[in-house]
Amino acid sequence: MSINYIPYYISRAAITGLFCFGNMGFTLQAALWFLAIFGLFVFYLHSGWFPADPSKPFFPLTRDAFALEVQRKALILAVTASLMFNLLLKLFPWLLSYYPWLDINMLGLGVIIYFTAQLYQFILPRRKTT
Amino acid sequence: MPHDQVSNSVREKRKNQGLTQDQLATLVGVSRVSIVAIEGGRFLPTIETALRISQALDADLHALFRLRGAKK
Repeated sequence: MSINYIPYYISRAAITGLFCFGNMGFTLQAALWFLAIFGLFVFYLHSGWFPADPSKPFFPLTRDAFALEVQRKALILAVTASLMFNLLLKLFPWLLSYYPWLDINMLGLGVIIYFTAQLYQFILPRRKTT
Repeated sequence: MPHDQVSNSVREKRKNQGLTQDQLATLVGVSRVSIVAIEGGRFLPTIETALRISQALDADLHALFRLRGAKK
């Protein structure tokens, strides 16, 4: 935690709190969701994946050329994989009767692939570090 | 993402200057992961980033990045 980013922490905690406690009330489940989502905000700031600019305390994170490249590839992969999956089910609808777990939301699949692909690409360069 | 045609000596120059990847990233204005990717040859920086790295490491651009097989 850095003192420069206190406005970031406070604003993200407020938004997360509003979303979690506003939707679920003051429950243990809401508190756990709050911790998980706020933890992700803190992790994103300190992960080293994005340049952080302390002169913009509310919006310190930006995407540099590498992060944009990562995002572009993840987006292409997510859209292509989702469309291919959809096409597969359109061409072979009988697959669903054999594999009912294939009946998943295409948008949800795309979102999962998008974030997983980004995570993979951000973690990949670390392997070469000496 | 790998760029086989271009090699670089950013890591050597950075270590010679006694800088960490974090410090170089801050000087250049990119993320630490970008520096890791550039040093590992997994990402070719933009002209602007390459020039900023050259400035931060006080090294000539041609000493940092060169085409494989090109004469020094």
